Amino acid sequence: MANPFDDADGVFRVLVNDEGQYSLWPDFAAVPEGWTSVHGPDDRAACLEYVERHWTDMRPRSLADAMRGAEG
Amino acid sequence: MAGRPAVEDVLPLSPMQEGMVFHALYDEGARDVYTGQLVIRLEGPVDGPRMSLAVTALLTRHANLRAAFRTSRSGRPVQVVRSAVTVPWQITDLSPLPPQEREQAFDRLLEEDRDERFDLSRPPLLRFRLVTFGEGQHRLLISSHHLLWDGWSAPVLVRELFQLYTSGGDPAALPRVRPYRDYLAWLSRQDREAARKAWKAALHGLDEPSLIAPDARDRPVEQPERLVLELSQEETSALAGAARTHGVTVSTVLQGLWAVLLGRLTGRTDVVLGATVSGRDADVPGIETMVGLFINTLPVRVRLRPEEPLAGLLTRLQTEQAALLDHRHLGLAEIQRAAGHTALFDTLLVFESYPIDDDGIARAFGPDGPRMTGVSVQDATHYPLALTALPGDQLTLTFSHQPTVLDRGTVERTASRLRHLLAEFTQDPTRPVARLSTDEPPAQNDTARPLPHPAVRALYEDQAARTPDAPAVLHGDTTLTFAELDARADRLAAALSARGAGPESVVAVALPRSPDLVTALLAVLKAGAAVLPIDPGYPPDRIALMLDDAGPRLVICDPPTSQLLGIQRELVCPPDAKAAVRERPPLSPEHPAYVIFTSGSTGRPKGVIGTQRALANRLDWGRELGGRRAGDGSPGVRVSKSPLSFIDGLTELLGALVAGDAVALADDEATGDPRALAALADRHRATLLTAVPSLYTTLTESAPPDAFSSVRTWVSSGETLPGALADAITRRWPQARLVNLYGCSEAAGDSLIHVHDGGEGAVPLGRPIANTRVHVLDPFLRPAPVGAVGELYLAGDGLARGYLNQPGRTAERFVADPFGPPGSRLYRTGDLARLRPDGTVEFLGRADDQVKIRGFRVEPGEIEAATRALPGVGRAAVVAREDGSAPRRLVAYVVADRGATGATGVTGATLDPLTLRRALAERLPGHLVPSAVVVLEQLPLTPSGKLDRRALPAPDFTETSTYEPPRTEPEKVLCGLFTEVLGLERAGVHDDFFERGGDSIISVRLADRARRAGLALSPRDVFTHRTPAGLARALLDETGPAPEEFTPNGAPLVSLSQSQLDNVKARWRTR
Repeated sequence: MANPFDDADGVFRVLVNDEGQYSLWPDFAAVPEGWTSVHGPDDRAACLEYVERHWTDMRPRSLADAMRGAEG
Repeated sequence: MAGRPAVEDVLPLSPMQEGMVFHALYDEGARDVYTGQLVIRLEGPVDGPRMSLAVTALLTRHANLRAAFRTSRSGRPVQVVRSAVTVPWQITDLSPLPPQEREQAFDRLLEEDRDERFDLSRPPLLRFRLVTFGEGQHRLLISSHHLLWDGWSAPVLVRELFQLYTSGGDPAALPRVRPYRDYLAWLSRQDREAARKAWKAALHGLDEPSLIAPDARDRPVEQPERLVLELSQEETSALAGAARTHGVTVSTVLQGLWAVLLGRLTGRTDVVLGATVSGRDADVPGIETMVGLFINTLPVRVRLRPEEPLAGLLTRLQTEQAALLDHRHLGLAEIQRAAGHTALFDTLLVFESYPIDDDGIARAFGPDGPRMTGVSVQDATHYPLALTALPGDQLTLTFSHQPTVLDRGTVERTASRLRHLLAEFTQDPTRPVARLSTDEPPAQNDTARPLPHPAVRALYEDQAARTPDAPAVLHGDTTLTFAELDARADRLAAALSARGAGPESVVAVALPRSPDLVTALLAVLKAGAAVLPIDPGYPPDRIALMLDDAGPRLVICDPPTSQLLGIQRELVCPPDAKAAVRERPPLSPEHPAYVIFTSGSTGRPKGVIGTQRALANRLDWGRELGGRRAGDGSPGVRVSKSPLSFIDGLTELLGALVAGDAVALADDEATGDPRALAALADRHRATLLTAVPSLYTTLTESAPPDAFSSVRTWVSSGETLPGALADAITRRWPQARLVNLYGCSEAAGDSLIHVHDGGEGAVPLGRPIANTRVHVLDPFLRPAPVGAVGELYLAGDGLARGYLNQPGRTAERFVADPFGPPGSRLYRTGDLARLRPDGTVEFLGRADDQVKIRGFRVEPGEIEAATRALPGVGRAAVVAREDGSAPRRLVAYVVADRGATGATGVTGATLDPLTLRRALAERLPGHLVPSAVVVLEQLPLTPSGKLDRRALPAPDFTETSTYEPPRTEPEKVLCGLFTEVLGLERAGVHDDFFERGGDSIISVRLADRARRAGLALSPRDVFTHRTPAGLARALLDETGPAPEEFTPNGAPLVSLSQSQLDNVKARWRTR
């Protein structure tokens, strides 16, 4: 069975939610609520490269903010 | 033979006839579904003898109705036409029966008639019966084999029959008929080679057939059942209008929508359906008034593109089909051969486009004859599901299905989906295929429930405060109470904090299963750090890789382990370290609680970072797994035996403590040996025990009588639990319930639960646990219909943060959730599943190459990468095989790197399977080491260039040593047992158990069989002594010398560290 996320020839986007978490997303499907497209449509490899470049802190944003607050 | 009419003609068969002859002869004992019935209601006077004359004249007129079907001397099927045949003709009078019983009597008669098979070698393959219901009320039943004529022929046949009745059987009343042989001659003139090429091209690149009932192929064909869906006039005209607007036929619309449905039912985007074409477009003059079998069943391939508007799909489909118009004469069998498939589809679409000349039929009887007031056709196919569309003011859709293959509910749902899709096409033809509406999935995700503490340490501390004096840890003669354990863990936690461990840091724990291990796990969680459990028995290289990746702040281990692993001294924290307890930093539910490594398809293990909330949710839910004692409900005892480096080991151990049950720690020996495990469970009166199905098989076969009588809950996880095994467990231990859990590290271990209820087939995965949602989605990310295969996705509190240091991989597995709260995520498991109507999930396999070996998750890609990295290896493929009676085993296939001579001095000729396997054992943990390595000249490939798994040879375990026959009675018994449990031709006394395909599970079986044969061996003996000779020597000489040379790297399939192995040896020596 073909999974749309594994389609090497597919067209994708990169989505981000409020917590700064990233998701690969097939372009054919509607962007789910709470997510914003930040890259694409583009090919799969380029989208994953974008994620690798931009998702440098995998902590949810609210947690990272709280930890910064606690330190400051 | 005297009196036998002469042979008038011998003709070849049309392709469709060949297919039917095959199906008719395939199972001669079964009902032949190709027996068709045509019932004509007649009102007014019917003269029986006159009708009989008309029938005879009809057969005189059409030579092909006199055909028998035989096999020629050359083996080819032929049709043999006799110059004359006697037509079976019967008259039945139902009028003496009370009127209300006549219909029933007629139905019985129809059924009996259907059961009466035609003998294909005895013409004619038809019979007539005139049934009188009463004065002026008749039914004419024409039964025939489908080989003779198709549905398009029926109106011609009926009209001619009536005309011949009117003429009193005078053939001159009708124009001369064009014989069927002219059509066969036309067929023989067609360019088959061009057609083969066209079909091959049309089906190029198709991976798999589209079967909605893949298991139905071996079942006997039954009389289909029917479900009729009649569209309203409005629906019908709206459909016709929309089709016209987009320049496609209604037939194409139905094919396209059926393909969309088929995509949902099969979970595929490249689907094939069968379509019956009339064949009446052949260039044979007068073909439209011929009687015979002209139809053909052909594949219609439809590639579904998610973004394509529905109207676009339909126009593309019509264009693709038009390109095949000249090639529709080729038979299905030949098309399948050309495409390289043995089957392409199991659903059929028939669009009855032939015009029926109702007036012509009505006029045929003339003014004095009877009137035809109705006609019904009963014909059938062998396909599990066939849809016949009859155009008219109201489009009629008839679904014929094999009732035991597809139940009526399924067909009803399919019919209503099709009707819905038709409406969507007429209302919004530009909607993209992936956004067509789908069924509402069954409600299965209503799982929200409050979590008392979204952190593991608080759950434990609450419990410790409630039952401080209850036993928490049981190990040998040692017992720790909750309060004792809590105090120890607090001290160690303080030491960890003092050394810098805290939220967002990782602390590795590399200890054998012991009270210290339990203390260490709790201490890490109390310090707010994430625990990384490490099996000290793993190869040092592997451990180094995990430590490198996770970058732990500290490693809790004993001095020998730290030395063996070469851990930097400043990282090491001994399990008995202490420091003054001080205030703990705040802990968020989003902080990591664990890092667990799983097999990674790209060649490196991947670390899953699980959150506090996820683990706490799983543990809190796990209270209800039921470890309590029967009767008084006092705390129970849960056995910890699963390997701690996997999430199941962690949840098993911590789950007991959070629930207030004691945890009984199993020694390594007890983890796989039924006797040792039974001894442990009985000693501690264990109430809950978790095992993988392969171990349950061993337990049900060879646990001692009365063992495990205290167990109240059996938990099965890790692999599919076969129904028969589940029944065997509940039969053997009726006092215990059996729970099947499904989950993964990415979702805190367990996400679905099913309590075995004796249902048939493999035990389902069940329904989601607390605060967990589950979805089965099709390739367009739409909920798959109930009963249809889709991919399993998980959502909710259990989801991990992601993969350690792998944002890209995280973003492709943890994806946006279109069904959950805004901004939430879904984890895609890669498992195939389907939903039952009640929302229960069933497991159907993997979407990728991942396999389970003895419950362990294994990515063959990881082992392939490790194999390719060995000197001299070019290509490598790793597969899980099940040969004969042997359990599932990993086998690596390698091809030498032809460019890599010289430098390493290794060539294909010198690649040694045993050396390669030993090298892998040094690098990989036991469950990833192949049971065998097979050196091949090249990897077999399919026509499309993929690995041809079926062509991979079974590993030959016989080449590993020079055969030497047994010399003593124990050796003889042991050689016999080796042969039996390893599935070998023979075994010699020096054959190494592991090199001939053994593993830990098989070692248990071997030890058990040996015990029954009176040889007192344990699974551990098998690991230590390995050969029949060695085992026999060990048995003979209980106080004897050291066992034969021990090679730790060759025995990777249990998790024993070097120090543990030394222990075994030492113990052996002092015995």
